[in-house]
Amino acid sequence: MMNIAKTLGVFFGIWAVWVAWEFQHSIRSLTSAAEPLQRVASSLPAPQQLSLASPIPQPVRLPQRVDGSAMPSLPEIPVPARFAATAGEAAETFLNEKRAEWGVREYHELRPTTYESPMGTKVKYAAYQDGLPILGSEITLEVTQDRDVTLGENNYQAVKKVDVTQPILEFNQVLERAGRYQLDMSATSGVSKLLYLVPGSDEPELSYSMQVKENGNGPTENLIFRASDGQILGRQVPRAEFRR
Amino acid sequence: MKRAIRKIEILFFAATLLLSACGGDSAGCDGPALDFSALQQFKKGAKFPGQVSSSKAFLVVPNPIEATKNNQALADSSTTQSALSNFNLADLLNPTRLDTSFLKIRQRGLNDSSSILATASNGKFQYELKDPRYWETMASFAIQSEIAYLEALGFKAVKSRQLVVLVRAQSEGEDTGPNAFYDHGYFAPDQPRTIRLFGEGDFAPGMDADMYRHEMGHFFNESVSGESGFDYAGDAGAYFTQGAAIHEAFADYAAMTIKGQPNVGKWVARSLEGFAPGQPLRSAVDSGSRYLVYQDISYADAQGASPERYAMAEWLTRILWAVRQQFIAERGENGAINADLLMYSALSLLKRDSSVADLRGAMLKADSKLYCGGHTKAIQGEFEKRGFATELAQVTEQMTVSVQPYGVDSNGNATSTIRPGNDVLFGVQIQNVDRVAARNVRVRLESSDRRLIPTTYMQGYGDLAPGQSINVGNGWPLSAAVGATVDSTAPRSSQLKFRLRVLMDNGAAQTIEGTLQL
Repeated sequence: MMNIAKTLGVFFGIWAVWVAWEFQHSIRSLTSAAEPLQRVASSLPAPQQLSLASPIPQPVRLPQRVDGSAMPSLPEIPVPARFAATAGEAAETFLNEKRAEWGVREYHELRPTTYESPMGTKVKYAAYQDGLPILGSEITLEVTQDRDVTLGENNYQAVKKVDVTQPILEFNQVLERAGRYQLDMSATSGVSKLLYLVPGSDEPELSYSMQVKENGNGPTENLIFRASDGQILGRQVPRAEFRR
Repeated sequence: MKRAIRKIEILFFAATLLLSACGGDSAGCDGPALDFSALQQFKKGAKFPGQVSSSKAFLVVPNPIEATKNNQALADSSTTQSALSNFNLADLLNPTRLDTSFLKIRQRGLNDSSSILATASNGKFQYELKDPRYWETMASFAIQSEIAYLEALGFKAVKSRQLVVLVRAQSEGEDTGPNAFYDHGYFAPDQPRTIRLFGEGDFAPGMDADMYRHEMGHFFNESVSGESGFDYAGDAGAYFTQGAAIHEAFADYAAMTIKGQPNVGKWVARSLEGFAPGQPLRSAVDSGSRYLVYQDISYADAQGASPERYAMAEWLTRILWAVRQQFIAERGENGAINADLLMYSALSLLKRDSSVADLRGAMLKADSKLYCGGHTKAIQGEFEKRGFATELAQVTEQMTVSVQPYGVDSNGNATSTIRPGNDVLFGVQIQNVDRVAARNVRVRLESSDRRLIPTTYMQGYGDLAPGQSINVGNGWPLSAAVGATVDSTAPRSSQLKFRLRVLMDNGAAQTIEGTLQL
């Protein structure tokens, strides 16, 4: 099996040399064919020397509207993802091509995080509105070393815009209502604001994420409370090294 | 002259093609080019790729038992003192403190007075092993060396948030017993991630590099997998899932492979009942004549004690370690590094709520990409030997399933009445009436009604033998039930629709739909 592969490799190598040689030869033929033309062109006088109508070169003028204002510049032509310099750029180009198809709302900012491994790069875009993360609404793109981009997972939700100025409870009022939880600020600031999308709803809830201990004991958990009334919406627990 | 240069270019091009064609077969299947010498140094913590501090840490690595090879070793015995070695520390913002831009190490909390924290004196972080400042220093070294090694392998740590490590997280005077916790903070995207160690005493976990490396292993599991949440159900409070077992297995594997020993927790186990001195918390090799197979740890029992994530993790590390040993047999000491590359590449392919079968598939895929599939037989063989069959008979008979929802009042008591604002737990009775065992049986809760908010949305119940049944809420604890919260704004007397899916690896999913009457 190895010998067959090596023999094939040698044949491929010889074929490649031949192709390269032919290619080089063709280029050289074209170059040599162009040489007489180049010589003729270089012997001609420069264009302005031939121009009788405008002997004095005019400054280049940008096109203008009737009112004198400058015309908008030409739109930037996007570079295809595969020509991008970095995996992040390739992902960004791909994302921009897909924004309309995926219905990405203009009030949603997609913030990237990049994950590198020898199997390729993943770029995860997390959706934010007015600086608040919409938990779980994200798009993961996978980028190969050749900058080919494919969709990994699309959990983006084109949900309604939330009024982040709506009246809400203070976080300590939320804790008072919940009763049995105490805030744990030992390793974090303890409280964050975010937008939480309840299944079956198309409008995220303005919420608090809090690190708490139940009745002051046990491991610290993360709870999500709806900020308007303190309703618990989600719970996340840490991983223990062993069960006791 | 130009033509001569062109000819040389073409010849060079041709030679490259020929070489790649002839030699590509073997070079491409050895995996990517790695600096093995540097990687070995990073593993030992003898070298760091980042900025090395002028300060030194004096530590017994990984712990007194393994450093002295004495199961009776104590923190303050003379043999332990003689096992102290000095190590570099990397990326310190200030050579007298352990903080880096990413890592914040404290004892009880971020507000610790700086006067109690480890501070280098004459360029040395040197403390008695029982001194919590020693634990801080161990945390810094163990975590930094793990980052250095895995990043040099090509797996970037996600440092978008800081990591806060508390080496004795219990409150002053609180006796929690030993343990350690990792929190990736999926629900708090702007907060630091945390590692918290609990416990003091003669065998305090803070003295042991294994503890930090295991917890840091969880961090890398999330980093490497692109935060896919391959055990998101576990994050959401699941009692058991195969994803949780994978998480624990790889956290153990991280600690094991760095020190090159197939065990974790020899030190902390000294303070746990039922462990003889020197017996590890978990081992990646069999002890005595017992050969651990999947069937030993995968079947649901009648009480909910089995399956258990740590038991399945231990079984899984034995497969990982055996594959690692095959790489070592092929390639010597560097083979362990190639194996690590394979393991973490496989992790990078896992999606949300993965199973052991998904992991095996990912290992095969990673091996195919890195090593041309040269270890397909070895990987499949180790899973098969440990009782995890590749080809499974299909379960064709529908399982009998019944559901009993319970309301949970504000005192945590289960009741048959469900009110707005209550938690709801779904007790389920499942019987496998087929002649074939059902593998990896799970129940997933789905809601299409915004007033019923799933919290612990999935639970795993392990394998069900032919004829076997489980009853969550009667035999199995209700903590193993899927759960939700009823929105407090839901009107009384309203009806909320729910859907439970019963899933398994070797059979079609079943759907049970029902209505909760408030």
